[in-house]
Amino acid sequence: MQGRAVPRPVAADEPPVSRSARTAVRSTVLDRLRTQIARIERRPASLDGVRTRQPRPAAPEPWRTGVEAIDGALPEAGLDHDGLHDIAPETCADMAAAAGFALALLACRQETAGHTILWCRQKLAASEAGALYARGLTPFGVAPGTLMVVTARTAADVLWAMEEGLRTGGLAAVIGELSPPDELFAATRRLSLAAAGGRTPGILLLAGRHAQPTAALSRWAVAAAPSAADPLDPIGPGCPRWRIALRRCRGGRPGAWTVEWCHETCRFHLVPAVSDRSPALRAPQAADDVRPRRRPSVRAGDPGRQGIAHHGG
Amino acid sequence: MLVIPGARGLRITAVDEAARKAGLAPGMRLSDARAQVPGLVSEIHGPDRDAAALRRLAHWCGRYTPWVTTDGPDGLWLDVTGCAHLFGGEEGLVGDLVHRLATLGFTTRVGLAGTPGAAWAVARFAGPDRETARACSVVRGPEPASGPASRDGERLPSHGVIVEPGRLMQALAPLPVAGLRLSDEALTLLRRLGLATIGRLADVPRTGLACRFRGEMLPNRVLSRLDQALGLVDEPLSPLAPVPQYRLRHDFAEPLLTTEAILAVLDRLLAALSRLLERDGKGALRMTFSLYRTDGSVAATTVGLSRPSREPAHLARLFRDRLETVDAGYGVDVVVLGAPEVADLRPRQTSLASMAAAGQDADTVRLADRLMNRFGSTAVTRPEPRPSHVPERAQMMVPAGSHGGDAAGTAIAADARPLLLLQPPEPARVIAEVPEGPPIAFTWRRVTRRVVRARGPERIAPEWWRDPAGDARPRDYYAVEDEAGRRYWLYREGFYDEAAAPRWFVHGLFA
Repeated sequence: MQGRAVPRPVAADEPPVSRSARTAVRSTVLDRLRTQIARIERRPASLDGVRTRQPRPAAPEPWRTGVEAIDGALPEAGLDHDGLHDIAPETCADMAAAAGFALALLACRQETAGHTILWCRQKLAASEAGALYARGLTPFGVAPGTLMVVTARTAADVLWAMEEGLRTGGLAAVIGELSPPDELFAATRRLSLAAAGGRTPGILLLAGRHAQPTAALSRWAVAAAPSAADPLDPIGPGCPRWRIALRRCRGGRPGAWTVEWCHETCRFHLVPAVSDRSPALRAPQAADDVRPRRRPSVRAGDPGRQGIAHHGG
Repeated sequence: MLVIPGARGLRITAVDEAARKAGLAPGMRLSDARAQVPGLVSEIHGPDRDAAALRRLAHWCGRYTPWVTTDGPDGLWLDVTGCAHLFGGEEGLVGDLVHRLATLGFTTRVGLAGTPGAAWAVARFAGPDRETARACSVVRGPEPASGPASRDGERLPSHGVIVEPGRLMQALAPLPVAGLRLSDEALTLLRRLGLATIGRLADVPRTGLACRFRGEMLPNRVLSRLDQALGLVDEPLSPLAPVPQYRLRHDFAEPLLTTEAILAVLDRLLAALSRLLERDGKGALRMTFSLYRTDGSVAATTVGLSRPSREPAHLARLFRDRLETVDAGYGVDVVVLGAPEVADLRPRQTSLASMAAAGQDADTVRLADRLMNRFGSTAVTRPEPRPSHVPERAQMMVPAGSHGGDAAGTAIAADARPLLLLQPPEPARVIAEVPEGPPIAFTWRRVTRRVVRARGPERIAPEWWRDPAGDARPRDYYAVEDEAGRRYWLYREGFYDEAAAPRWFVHGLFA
């Protein structure tokens, strides 16, 4: 084949198109298509013509959690910066854990450190869960001056406030804590469009169990998990741990992990499947050694229950 | 016809034109009146509702001047100093007022004079057919709908009397002394003295007059009223609402019916007002936009700002959110934009480095304003640390957008405080070691939790300087974790060895 006269003599000098080169071309084409599909999948807004987005000026760093196992399950190895994310507590009692996980996720996002976080709360949800306490927020890298709290009566008002915040742009994030309204999908669809328009991440903390779909890009379920012992205080609680489950994520893979949040380093750590409960607490007789001041006389703090002896523990 | 319940049945308090012609008068008993006129229609008189209507009318008069107040049960004061030229002079203003009120169904007597006292007297006692016409110009109102009613001359249509400048004395002289706003006691005395008109009273030498009265209060009051009417003594009156220093109004030839048209006018007024504010280096803290409807009602919209601003686009947006719900009714013919509260706002030199941050900060403040105007100023807050060790006092929620104080708060280990604080602390039933061990199990919100890990106690003593009664007890705080890994912040108030048993509370939730 190479010896024959060909219409293009130049081709004789060219090396033949090897199999590896063909594979490379094919993979670039595939890559391009994959990116395109990914973009389409994650941005259906540009398809139905509701909102066409301007191209990004510069690709920002992906919003990573810092735990490889979790980042691997997310599209493009990170969360979407300007999308809506739904973080649901597993039970009502896990609202503090869900709020903590939301704040921890935001702390992983470096670009908007020091920007204001808008926290929209429904009055009922707020009175149930308690007031936001600025000193408890500082371990998550939130200064008291950078938090704005809006309390509204109805879920519709909370959603309105969230949309205003998301459209404003320039905020670190907008967090909405509310009980799910009837038309949840339509409402969250508006929010995700606003989030894309204002380039601000929105986080939904929906109180109570609900089976309604949301338009959020990712959906997490968070529950508290028993912590490891504090290295300095063997019976004291250590760093907070959460069982998180990625229930649904556009372009990602669902999964479940247990993570630990370290306040000092502001980082997540993956907790191995078997928890390292300290033996001191698993065996009560061992606990006695740790707590030498323990006395047998134990009684109830409640006046009505005084005198009830309680053994063990 | 209006009636009130009296000691001997219902008595008439007010009658309309038709009832007057039928021979009825205030003070009669309703049963007597029914005997005269069988088909009588009567309503119970409600002075409260009358007063409310008068106040509404006062607000409506804000279209003429910002300076309006009510006077007694049936009068209104309007300070029209510097306002008359907007309506084509004093005649124009009074004519407009009389005609509009007649359209709304009110019969009015308007007096306009250099002093409030003279205007009061002229409005109530001067008529077009009296000799006061020499010193005054009279503006006649429209003929009442029931034309023949005014033929007997007993009840005149609405009219206004304007005292010409410099002829105050001539105008007041023929009026009865009752025009001086005197008590019945004083009027009786003056009548006994034969001083029927204000002119006669003014002619009497002052010292002589004082001698005629017993006591000191009465002559002083008569003389001071006379001086007030003649303008020798100032008579300050306070308006219903504070008069804004910055105020713009716009009249329309035809009433506006759509919100879009009103918003367009609002944009123009805001631009003009912001130029005024910029000239003086001021920014508005509160703004009011009043719509005067043709049916005599007023719709006022007020927006508040967390920081002074004179930016028309931002202010327009705030109003836009609120005006969406305002109903134009039968049409709006006057709008007034005022800034009752302003503060200094000087232009500041910004450096290139701080510009991005300043822009972002301004965005946040604008957002706070919008949220505040929708949900109220107490609903949009930010936490501010306070120097206190008592957890609930260590933080105060202040309005968002307000400038941060320099209170730094107390230094505490980073993770020693919960993310959520229960306010107030919720009581819990706790099983704990005595005397000061950590909780072993506790029941809170009807669920019993077994404590697996606990840290504490952290003792926080009460702030004695805030507690004069001395009954506050020290608290021992514990951070505990239950079997599921949820973390709580509990505290014990008091000690086990005290007479009063200690009480346990859940105060916060850790993340």
